[in-house]
Amino acid sequence: MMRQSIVALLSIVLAAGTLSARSQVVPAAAKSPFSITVGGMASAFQPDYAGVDGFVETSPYRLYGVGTYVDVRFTRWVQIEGEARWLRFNQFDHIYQDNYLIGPRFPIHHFHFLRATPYVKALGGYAKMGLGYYYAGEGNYVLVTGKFTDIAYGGGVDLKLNKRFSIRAFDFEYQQYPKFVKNSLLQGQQLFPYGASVGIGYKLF
Amino acid sequence: MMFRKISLIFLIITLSAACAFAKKEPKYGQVRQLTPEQAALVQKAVAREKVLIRSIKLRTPLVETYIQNTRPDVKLYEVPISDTYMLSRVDFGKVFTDKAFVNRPAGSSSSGKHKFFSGSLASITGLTKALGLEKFTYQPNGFMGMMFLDPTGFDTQHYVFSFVRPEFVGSVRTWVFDVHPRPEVKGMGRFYGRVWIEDEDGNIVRFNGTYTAPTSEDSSKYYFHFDSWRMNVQPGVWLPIAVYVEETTRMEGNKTVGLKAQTHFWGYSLKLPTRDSENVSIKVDDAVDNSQDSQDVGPLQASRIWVSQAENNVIDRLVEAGLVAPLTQGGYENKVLDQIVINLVVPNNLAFTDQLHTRILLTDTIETTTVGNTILISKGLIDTLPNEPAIASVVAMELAHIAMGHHIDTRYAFNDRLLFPDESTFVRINMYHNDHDNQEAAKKAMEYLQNSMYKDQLPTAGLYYAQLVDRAKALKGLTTPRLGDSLLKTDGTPWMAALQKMAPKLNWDDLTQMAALPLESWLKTDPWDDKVHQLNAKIYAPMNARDKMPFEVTPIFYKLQRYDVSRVTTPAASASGTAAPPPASDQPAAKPNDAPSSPPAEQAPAGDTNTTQQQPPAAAPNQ
Repeated sequence: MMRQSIVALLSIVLAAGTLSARSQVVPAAAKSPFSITVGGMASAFQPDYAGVDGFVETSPYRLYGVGTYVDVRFTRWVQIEGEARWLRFNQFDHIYQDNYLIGPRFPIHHFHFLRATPYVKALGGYAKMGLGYYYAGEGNYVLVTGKFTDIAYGGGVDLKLNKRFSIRAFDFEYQQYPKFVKNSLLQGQQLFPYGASVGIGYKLF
Repeated sequence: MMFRKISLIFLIITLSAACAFAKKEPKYGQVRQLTPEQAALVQKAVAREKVLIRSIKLRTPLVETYIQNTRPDVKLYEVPISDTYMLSRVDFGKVFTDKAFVNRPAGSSSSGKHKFFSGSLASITGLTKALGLEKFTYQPNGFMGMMFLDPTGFDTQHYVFSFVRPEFVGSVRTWVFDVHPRPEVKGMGRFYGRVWIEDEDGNIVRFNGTYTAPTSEDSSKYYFHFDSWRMNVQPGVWLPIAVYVEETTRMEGNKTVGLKAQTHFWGYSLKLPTRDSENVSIKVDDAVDNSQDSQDVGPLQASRIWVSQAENNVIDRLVEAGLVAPLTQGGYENKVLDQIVINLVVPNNLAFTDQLHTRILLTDTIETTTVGNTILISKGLIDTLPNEPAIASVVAMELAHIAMGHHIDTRYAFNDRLLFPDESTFVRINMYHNDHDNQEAAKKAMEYLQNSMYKDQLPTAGLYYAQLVDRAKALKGLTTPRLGDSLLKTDGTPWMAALQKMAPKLNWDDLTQMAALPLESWLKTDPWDDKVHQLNAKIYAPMNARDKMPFEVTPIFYKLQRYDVSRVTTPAASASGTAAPPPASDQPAAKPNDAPSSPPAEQAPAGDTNTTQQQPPAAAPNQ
């Protein structure tokens, strides 16, 4: 149900974004839309993994962390976002998630109100995850980590403060680890962490 | 789970709120109800606009746009800091677009030297352009589009009209209306501003305003404010002739820059049916049938005839491309330029066996060259030359090229070499001289000037070169030749450096010192048949340094007239052939003192600027 809602939402905003206004007379000048913005963010995420016997389930411990992002704008509609996020705070049993993602980003519209730009994005990459301590036999426990393919769908709103600075007022990501495997018994399990971030960006050029 | 729901709901609310607060359409002034008479005129104007668009679809006029970016200046108010020159042919086939004239390769210059790295730089520039990484680019199409209010949707369903007042523009009575798109009409590129509608047939003769901008704040597309003029070029036919564009507070990066531009249209009657110049028939209107007096021809004479054939072919091709003005009998070329040629030829005892001619390149760029015995001077160069000695200095150098035998490549004697689209003219016809030839010609030109009636006025002429050097770095588009030679070497010094050295120091505060004039100071081009005419305008002396505006773009103003056949001395629709000009060398021995020498305050070149000029087919635009 949740997934269907997100797909529907993405479809609507993408359709809205592709509605371009037709001009009667072409503009006399064009400024290069190419720009690079770098930023930092703070995030709160539900890891979707409680660490109890490796089962996928909502954790009572939300993960907090910091991250950085780069937005490369080629044209008004063609943009790429890359992000790295380290969710290392409020860990339970050494469960953490790091995300390294890149993918297209689609601004929906540029509004004069608050100089806001809502956007949607679809990113891909990998996640490094701490899965907690597991019994290794003979009274020993080991910290198990894994590296998983990570797909993220999301959206948010950027507010432009001035020529250089912008605020990432809200950024929501719904992630999917399509092949989250703890052990052979759990093959086919998927993980769906999700969370929100806020941040600040600086336009390099 | 709760956190997931809250986040998603927050995202949806944010997106919805942003949509709800989207910027509303700009508010326009209060609409005044039209009277039935006013409404009828508006309906006429809407219908005439459609006729105009259909009419332009049949033609492929040339469109030249020259843009100067400016920065504020305490003393001069604003000074140009960079410029852009664009020459295209309107192509209104399936879509309204332009065909840009291709510039000759960056490495080729009048100096003939290939600049190191110029090829690499050009390719880098091309790459950055292709990737859209250039900071700010002007679109020729956008300036060309200012010939229309709205090419596809100008009607009362899309626009609201408010009557302002009746007003005369020149001798044409007009009704003035404020126009803006209806609130429910969305989209960018719709005109809003003021229109002047002539009261007989309902033609829009002038409109002044801008186009609706993209609604997105972050858009990278720009529309500028403009003043667009039309002229009654034929009975009942009003066609776009010029546009003046001005923006005084444009932001570029962190700097405030201004912009001034002029767009000119001409060549309406040149290419009625053809869209592309296949050049299947090159008209040579002044071809003379000499078969009756056939006789043997010696080797030298044959060579000269061969060179002459190449020259004629090139001139005819340039006229057909709309780049050289057809000759007007008794026009500026004959009255002024040919006289100056005589003033130089006679005292120097130059015995040319063939006739000398002068012609005008219709571009605003500052350039000059020779094609055989024909001296070509660009309109932009003549417009900015302040006085007769300065014109003479340009003519002297070209005369030297002719005297020294620096003729063009005889390959153009073969007509097949001239079979190319007009847009390739700058690449396919090489009419510039190499550095060595220019150096030699400059030396010789100084000798000619020293022996002429201009010898005492050479410091005045030298001022022009000093001013040109001063502005050349900022005005690369204007000073870069398209067909001919630059007045400057690649190092930025003038070929006629000796003349520049004779000039006094440039002094902005000395109001008697007019080193160079603004563009469009002397000549106007008839948009219908491409002939050039001298402006019949009153000359005002500058009152302060800001009035000087050397090489600058200035606003346009036309005193419009209705087309009147009785006022036209030559048929307006005459073919654009090259009528045989009177040979300068056949003129009776020149009396140097006959040539008018105007005081600087009047800034009059050769010829009497106060005499009534030949009227163009329609209005006589006074700027």
